Amino acid sequence: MRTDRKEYNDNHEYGINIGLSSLLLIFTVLCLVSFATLSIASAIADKRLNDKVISNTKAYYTACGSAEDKLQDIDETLYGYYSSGASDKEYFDKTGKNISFAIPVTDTQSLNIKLDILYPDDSSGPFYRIISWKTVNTGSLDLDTSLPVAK
Amino acid sequence: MNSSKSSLLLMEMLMTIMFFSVAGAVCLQIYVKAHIVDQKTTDGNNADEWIQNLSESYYGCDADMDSIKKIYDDCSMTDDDNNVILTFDSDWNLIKRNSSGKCADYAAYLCSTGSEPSSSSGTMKTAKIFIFKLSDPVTDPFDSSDKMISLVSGDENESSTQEIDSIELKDYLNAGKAE
Repeated sequence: MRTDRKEYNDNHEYGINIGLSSLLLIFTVLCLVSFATLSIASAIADKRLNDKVISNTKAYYTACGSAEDKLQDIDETLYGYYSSGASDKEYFDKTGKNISFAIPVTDTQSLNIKLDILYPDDSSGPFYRIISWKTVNTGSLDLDTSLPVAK
Repeated sequence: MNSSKSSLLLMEMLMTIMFFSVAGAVCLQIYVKAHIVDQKTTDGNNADEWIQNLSESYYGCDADMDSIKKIYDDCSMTDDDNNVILTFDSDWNLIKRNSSGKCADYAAYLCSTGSEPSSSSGTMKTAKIFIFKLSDPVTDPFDSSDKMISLVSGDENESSTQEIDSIELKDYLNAGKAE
């Protein structure tokens, strides 16, 4: 029995077998590549979402700027009607009691503004009062709910 | 026999190390790229948040810079034209007047760009908001306010600041709105 064990030890030396390091390499590189791909994909997805948020913010404040331009136009028009010496009845006949307008923000959103027209005591105004200033959805989202199932 | 086996093992080890070095270098580059993209995203997110904060302050205060400064009383500095400057540390925390030893890594600049009276009693006021990343962080920004002002107002070399985001604002003020 003891002789057999000695012979076995003489024939089989302990150490690193050929191929073990290659296997370890394959496993390690696979892990490295997988995690690297996941991290870059996640970072790029976050960046894309952030770019959308930034462009949406810019679009909103650009629309607000356009709305302020429109308010200036309306104010000047109302001032013109008022300065022409029209009575309150004639004034409201020309202007109406309310004005509503919408400024597009994105393809699916718009900034809706509603004004009450006022007839002030003197020409320093105010000629209107903002009663609504809100973004509303104008289009339905066309979501892709299909699944790429092979037939 | 033993010698050829050892040399084969050595050869394999060498090849493994070489391949691992190449793969490691490529993956490291990808990690660095991901980190840079992530940093830009964080900056963009915070810049967007502060653009919204300052824009709403601007509209809420009817474009009055003094009122806006009162909102950020402890954190704002101003230039000769009464424009508002806010500074942030590397984690986008507002730097307060009494906090010493803090470094300003980012800055927000709200500057009034015009005031045009209309033919009626109203006035159209315009402003711009810039968010900057400072290439060289400024230690104790309130002690070196002159440097901060020249950095954000564009008097200094443009390479010392990097614009992250900017926006233009318009606010039409009439008697009705001011009430």
